[in-house]
Amino acid sequence: MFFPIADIHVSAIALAMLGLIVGVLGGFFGVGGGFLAGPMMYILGVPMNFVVGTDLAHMTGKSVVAAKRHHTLGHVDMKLGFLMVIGTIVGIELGAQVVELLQSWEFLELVNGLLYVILLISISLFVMWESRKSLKTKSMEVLPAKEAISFKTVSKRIQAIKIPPMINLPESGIESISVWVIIFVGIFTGFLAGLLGVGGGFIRMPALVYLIGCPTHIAIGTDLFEIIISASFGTVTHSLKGNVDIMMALVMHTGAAIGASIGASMTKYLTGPNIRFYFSFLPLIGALLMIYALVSGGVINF
Amino acid sequence: MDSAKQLSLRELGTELVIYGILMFIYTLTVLSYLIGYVNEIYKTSALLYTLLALVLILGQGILMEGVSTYIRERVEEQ
Repeated sequence: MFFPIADIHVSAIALAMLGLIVGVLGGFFGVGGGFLAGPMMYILGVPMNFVVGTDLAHMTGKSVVAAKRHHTLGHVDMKLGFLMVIGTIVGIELGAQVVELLQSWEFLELVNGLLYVILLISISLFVMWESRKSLKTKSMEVLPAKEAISFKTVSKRIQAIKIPPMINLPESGIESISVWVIIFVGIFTGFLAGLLGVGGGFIRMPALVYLIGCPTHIAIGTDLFEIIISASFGTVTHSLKGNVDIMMALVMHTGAAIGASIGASMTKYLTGPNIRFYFSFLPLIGALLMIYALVSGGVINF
Repeated sequence: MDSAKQLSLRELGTELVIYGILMFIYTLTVLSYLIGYVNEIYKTSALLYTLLALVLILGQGILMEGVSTYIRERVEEQ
């Protein structure tokens, strides 16, 4: 199929299939999937300047499908999502500003790439360790099966911070938490995403579970709800610069929509620790792709 | 795997086939038809193109969710 905006021929079936795969991952794990879709689009021949913007546009549509499905399953905390998105947008802008300031620094891309790899491997190992521990605890029936989390110390301490205004998040089972804490966690995860040039779903989902104390299923649905707003924001900024091929995003989205719906429905069959265990492999894939990019001489920021 | 999950996998396969056929027709007709008009707007106004892009992707998101839910419900009824 010819896409006149990006001025290239790309197989519509390949784009829809890529959308389907990334959609399943998005719906199941609550991530945008840019770390996988970006390099794959590039391999399919999409020009680099169109990759990020077009991927963000398709992510917007996909997140609508997945978040709506999760909402039907009762997995979206709208109040938490709105507060997180305020912090996320501020954080992404701060991270992007820091990158602008350091732009003249010769080793910026290398240091950014290494930071990305270290962060992703750390998240992966930690989530793997914690989820395995929770699965063992669950099998001894010490904790309820659906939401066993072994690592609750940090979230309990965070919830104990009493800076007004305090809010109640009944959907997430959190009796009282400071609004500022949620916004700060949003800024922190957004900052890392902006600094590293990624969407940040694989940073936010664990942050919602381990820092805020959100159940895994709610964290996935809420993160997807947040992605609708943040990816829309990204689509607008990239589109104004002429870097979005919306027709390509729409074709990709035909596959992503059903994938996201399937992924979201699959979460019904698994417990929180199981989902977190499978999730722990995702950042590893992202880290391996970045290591490959670093070794082959270029740094890919998705 | 229990029978409930086996049934879900069969439903999933049926849903994918029906959805795939519908999307193939949709891409060949609606998207192919739109491509020329959207390209013209891209060339003339960045702001209008951005607004159109957002409306199209959000609209398609809502439409596809409705279609996939409708297909799932019909398949589950069988």
